This record gives sequence, structure tokens and C-alpha cells, in this order.
Amino acid sequence: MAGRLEGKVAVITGGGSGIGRATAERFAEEGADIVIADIQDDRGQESVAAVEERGRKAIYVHCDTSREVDNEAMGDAAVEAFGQIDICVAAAGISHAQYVSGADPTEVNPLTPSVDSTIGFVENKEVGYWEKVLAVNLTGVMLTDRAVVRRMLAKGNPGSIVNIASGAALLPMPGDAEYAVSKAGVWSLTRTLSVELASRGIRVNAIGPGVIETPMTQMWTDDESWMAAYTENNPLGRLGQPLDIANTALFLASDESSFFTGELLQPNGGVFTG
Amino acid sequence: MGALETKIAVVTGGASGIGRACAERFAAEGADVVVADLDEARGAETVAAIEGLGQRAIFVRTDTSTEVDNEALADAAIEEFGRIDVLLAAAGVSSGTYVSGEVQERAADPEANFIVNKPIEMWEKVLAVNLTGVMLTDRSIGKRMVAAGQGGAIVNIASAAAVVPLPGAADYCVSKAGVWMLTKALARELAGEKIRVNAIGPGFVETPMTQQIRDDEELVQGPLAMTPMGRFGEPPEIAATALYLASEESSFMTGQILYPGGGLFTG
Repeated sequence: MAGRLEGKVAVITGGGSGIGRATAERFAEEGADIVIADIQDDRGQESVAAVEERGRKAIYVHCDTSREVDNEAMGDAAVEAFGQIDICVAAAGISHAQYVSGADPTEVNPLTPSVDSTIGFVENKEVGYWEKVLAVNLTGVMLTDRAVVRRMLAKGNPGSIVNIASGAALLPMPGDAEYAVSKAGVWSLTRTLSVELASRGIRVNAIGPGVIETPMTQMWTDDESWMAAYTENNPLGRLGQPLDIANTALFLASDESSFFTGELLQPNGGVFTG
Repeated sequence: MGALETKIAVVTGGASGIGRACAERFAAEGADVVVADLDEARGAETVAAIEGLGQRAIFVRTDTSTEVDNEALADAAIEEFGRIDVLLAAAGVSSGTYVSGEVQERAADPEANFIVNKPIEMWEKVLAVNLTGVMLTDRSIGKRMVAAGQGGAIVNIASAAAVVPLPGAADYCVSKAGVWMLTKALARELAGEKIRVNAIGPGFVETPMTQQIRDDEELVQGPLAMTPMGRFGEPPEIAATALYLASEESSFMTGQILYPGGGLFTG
């Protein structure tokens, strides 16, 4: 079943680490050339090198996905480098307003419940934090999706968009409402976009990962008591790996899922999400 | 390298439609297949198709609504291949009078099949095959997977009708909603055994089951209007979904339902 993305060009935001990095590597193994978009230039370049090691071409584009101009420039760079875009995986996102991917998670995050169990609750949250998370996780995905879609439509090629939402799209997240709301928004965006584009050959789906071992979850997974509770409560009893999500993204990006659009796939170890 | 190399798969309803497509795709990915169905002639065709792909297959005549048949199916699979890695439960009926491969008369009165008018026997028949049948197959195979201790993947063919009301087909919808809940409950019960249980909720697919609708220019407009992609799905598209759920590529997924429905709204 190798070569499922032979000859395809994929744009991956958040491609410098975690789910985005794993997806870039997996897609390259299946024959795709990759545009890595991220705000962390050094790790983005590492992803480029990882793609090249797998015998495919890649470019890195510095892209703050919360800005329309960056997304449009990224779309232009992709078309300039590879001629067209077949696939987009929108994986750029943050867990909270002060999140910096790869930063030392042992630095106390003022929003973690260990400091004050209600400090992150909506009643106490600074509106600026809410706005930051929505800007990156929701508006950012919308801007990436449309920058890519515009170029797919202009070229007239079919396409597959995969948005990385979260199980939090469907679950309450006390203390992290803005994250849950932003991901619920991504899921809703996915559904509307899928209908807008269904008759024009572009499929749009989302993934709602459970807890995946990435830089974003390190602040939890480094905590032994947190891990013990997690392992007890997760039906499959393990953290997800970035490769789990990359394989789901591969399914949705490839023609194997040709009758899927407007759907949410949830690789989460069996967590009940309603 | 196939995604199911060296795996043993049992496929109920394997003689036609989605079941046949799954059996063939699994074989193309390296699995040996036990084909279960009521229809021996078409079951033999599936076996021949699998052998043509270079894999081994046997046919076991199975009425999935009876426990004894499901147990005999599982025994036959173990006897022939030694273990079972994958189950695809695709056997099902669209109505109490459905016989795969036979064309049915369209009811003159569209309300004849509404719950207030439908004979109870129709309801009982659909639940017996679609819901109790899947439960019996899942547990016959599940028992043997647990005994073998090697984990496994169970994929139940539900339907988008598990979550979308279809007037005149309440029995079908209810049976598929039951399959979806069965899937979630089983996923919990078997997670500790590393047996994953997932469902597929196809939208409208080109199979013998939808032939009557597709052949009727008026009737076919309903499904097409419900499907943003504007077409029926094809059995290989459902088979590709089943392959994903059966393979290691979905190893972090259990208790889920996937909807290859062309964008059909499922709530």
C-alpha cells in the first residue's frame, strides 16, 4: 500500500514539531513533496531535512498562521515551488495563550490548575488570552484553509484538506475554555467548508486527537500523577503517538477516503466524546 | 507489503456488496479470508476472487441471526487458519422482506412502512439480522480473540442511518443505531484485551441493497439531495475505510464510527 501520495504536494502548518512533523515524514514516505510552515525556523528546517532524507522535496516557509498575509505568502510559495497544492494539513495550534512550542514546560504556566484550580476559568480569564487562542487555532486554520483552497480552485485540481481539531472540540475543558471553543470552531468550520467545496472536488475533514505525546502535552505527561490518572482512564491505556495521527491524516489525505468529507476522525484510545 | 500481511479476516455478508469489496481488498493487502454468507453461489465467487489474488479463502454458510451458525463460523475459521485477527461484520438487511440480489416491489403507499402500519414481524426480522446478528458474530469471534490473547480488530458495518432518521425504515435505523452503541460498549469491554472495535456508517452506496432506489429515477433524488458530493459511494470506498480500521494504521482508534457518506449530514 506504499506510495499513496505519489506525486502529490502537501502543505503542513505546524510542520516543525509534534503532529505536524510526524505527518510531514509520513507523507514523504508515501511519495509527497512537502511545504513545511511554522514559526520556528530551526525546527522547520529539521522537518525539511527529515523529508529530504526520505527522498522527497521540501521547502520551509516561515508562517504565522494567524495572519492572512503569511498564509497567502505561504500559498504562493507552495505554488511557486511545486506548481500546485493537493493536500493541506492544518496542524498549527497552541494549547493556551502563552504556549511556545518546545519551550521548557517546567516553567510554571500561570494557567495550570496546580497553581489555582479556578485561575483559568472563564470568569477569571483575561480576554486577551481568549483572543490569542482563537486567533491562532480558529481564525488561523480558516485563513490557511482558504489560502490553500483558493489555489486549488484556481488550478482546478482536486484536493484534500485535513484540519487538526481535538477531542476538546466535543468535550468540556474546565480552565481551558478558549482551547475547547477554538477546536469546536475548527470542527464547525470543517463541516461548512466541506459542503461549500463538495461539488468542486475538494474534501475537507478534521481529526480530533486524544492526548498525543507532543511538545504541547509535555506539561501534563511529565507529571506522574497526571499520567497515572490518564492511563487508568484511557481505554487503550496509552498516550497517542504523533504517528497515530499522521496515519489518520494519511488516510484522509489519500484517495482511500474518497467518500469522506465533513467528517471528524478521533484517534484517542477510545475516550468517550459523546 | 500489504497492510494485512499474514492476517486472518472473517467477513460476514461477504458474498456481495460491501462485504465482497472488503473481502477482496483485505486479500489484496495480504489477508486470508473466511467468507460468511447465506448465499453459497455468490460466496463461492468471492472465494474464487480471493484465490485469484493469491490468498487463501473458505466459505462458511452462516445465518448470522443464529448463535449456532456464528459459533460454527468461528470454529471453522480457527480450524482452517488457527486464529482470527480481523472481523468485518457486514451481513445485514434493509427491510424485513429483503433478499440480497432480488429486486423488490416499491410499496404503492409510501406510508405503508411507517411504524404505525408496519407488521411487527418486519421489525423483528430486521433487528434479528442487523443487530442481534452483529452482536452474535462479534462475540463468537471476540471470544476466540480473547482466548488467543493476540488482540484484534473488529469492524461493524452500521450505517449513517444509525444517526439519521429515514421515515419508513425505522427498523433499519434502530438496528443500526444499536450496532453503533454495541460498538461503543464492546470497545470498552475489549480495550484491555487490545481488541479494537469500531464501526462504519456508510451513506448511500452502490450495492444490491440500494439497487431498487438507484433504479427509480424519482426515488434516487432523495439520497442524491442528501449527499453533498452528489453521488453514491462505491463498495471499494467502504472497503478502504474498513482496511484503515482493520490495519495497524488506526491502532489508537477504538469505539469510533467513521462515516464515508459523501458529506451526508449525520448530526
